[in-house]
Amino acid sequence: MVEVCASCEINNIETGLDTIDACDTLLINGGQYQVENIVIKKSMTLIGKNNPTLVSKSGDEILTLLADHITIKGITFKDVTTSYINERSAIRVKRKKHFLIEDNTIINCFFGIYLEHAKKGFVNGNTILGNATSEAESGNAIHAWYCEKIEINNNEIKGHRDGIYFEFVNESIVQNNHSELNTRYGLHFMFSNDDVYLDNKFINNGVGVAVMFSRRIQMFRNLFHHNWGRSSYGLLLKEIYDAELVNNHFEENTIGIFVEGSNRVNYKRNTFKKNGWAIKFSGGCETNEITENNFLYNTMDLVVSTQLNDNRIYHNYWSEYTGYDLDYDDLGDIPHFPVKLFSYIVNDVPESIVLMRSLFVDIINFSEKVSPVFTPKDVADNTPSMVIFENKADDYK
Amino acid sequence: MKQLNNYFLLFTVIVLYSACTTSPIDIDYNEDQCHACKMIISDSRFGAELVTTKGKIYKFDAIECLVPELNKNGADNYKYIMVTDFENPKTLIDATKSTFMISESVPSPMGAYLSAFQSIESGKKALGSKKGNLLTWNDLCLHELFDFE
Repeated sequence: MVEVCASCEINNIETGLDTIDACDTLLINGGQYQVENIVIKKSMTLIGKNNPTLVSKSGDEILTLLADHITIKGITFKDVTTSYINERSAIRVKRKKHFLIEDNTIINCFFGIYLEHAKKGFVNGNTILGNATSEAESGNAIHAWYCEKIEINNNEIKGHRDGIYFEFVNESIVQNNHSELNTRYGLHFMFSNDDVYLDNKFINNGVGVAVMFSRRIQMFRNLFHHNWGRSSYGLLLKEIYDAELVNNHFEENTIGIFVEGSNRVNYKRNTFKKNGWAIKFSGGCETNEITENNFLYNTMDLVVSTQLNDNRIYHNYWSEYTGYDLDYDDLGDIPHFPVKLFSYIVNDVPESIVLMRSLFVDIINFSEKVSPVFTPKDVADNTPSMVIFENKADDYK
Repeated sequence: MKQLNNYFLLFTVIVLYSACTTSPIDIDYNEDQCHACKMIISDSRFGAELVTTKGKIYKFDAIECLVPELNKNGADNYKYIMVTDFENPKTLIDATKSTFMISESVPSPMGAYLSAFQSIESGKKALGSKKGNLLTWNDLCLHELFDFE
């Protein structure tokens, strides 16, 4: 092991890296270092003790990993500036395998951790704080591009464009992260297949999570909270096939889930609480299954713009359900129609939202309920549940 | 008093007239939503915009989102077709007179590696020795951009 510190024999990181052999450990003991474009070309472990800080000299990249089996642990990275030409990042992994990036702090950087054609690595327990506002340009906190079998666990992310960004990333796991106040998405999938994300918290982002053009994504026990604004959703599903959404909690979002062109998606045991719209379907959604969800006090539970072909809605709990259960089987005896006439009107004429909660709207909703003309009769829950389902993610907040 | 009235009349006419003109407006980054893919428009190097002959404005997060929409409805329906100059973020330029670059070294929001430049010279300069090619607007409309499925 070689040690680098201000009063040590070796007092700069570049010399330290030259000195050590492959598979050895370099320990940085405290201090602040002005560095730039450091390239690590051998398998090694780089550990920080007493919070050493690497500050980018002129705003360019700090660390590039160009070998397999590298560990980076316990180091603070600072001040990689915005560039329109290069996607500069604090730590970059380029075409390598078996990396571990753990317990680091990345403050005020354009991109945080940039994984490029990387495989089989871990990004665990990092804290990444950006300074994105709606005016300033900012990159993504954790950016993965053409990766395979990576794991992103227990990170704290704030104030970037996307908290975690996956483009062409397959068979990977995102678990237990906290993504907050990002200008675009808390988590973003593009063209990525066979990924799982679970037990994450997405709070106060432009959009909580966007899953786009991907197949076989599994989403379990996530919290989508307060993604609020003009074009905000808790979750955006666009061109998604064969996904599973189980035990998630959506609370206080403008739109809980916005779905466009998604087939064979199972929505099971999720809780939708106090959202503007719980689920909004917009065109081309087939063979979806919505079952055992809790719809609690949403302004509108379900909006469909076209016929929902062979989609199945059953056994959900609706706080708006006004039916009865005479045979005590915990299932309502008359069907529940979650699509209101007013939600139809709002879909076509968004401005009509000002009439919300007025007597006029109550009257048209009631008359439509008595004799349905506009709302699709097949969008109904024929066996609504009388009891609220248990959902572990409800306790996450 | 009569003069004041005249000024008021003039002001009203200007206001009413300006409400009728069709012209492109700036994209409100991190607020506006892409008309095609529903993403929030956030990368100020790639935003694009269509203005119909009637003045309705559609905003896009990438050129590859704009082109299919344009091809679907026909270019005749649009008065302005605007893309962002890669070298001057947030600046909209006329797409029909722009040069386009497709190069793997510059990823764009929807995965087409497509960026726009004001002139052929600046496009050539940006491409430099990198792998990729330059296209005119007409080439681009024929190009197969988006092949998910």
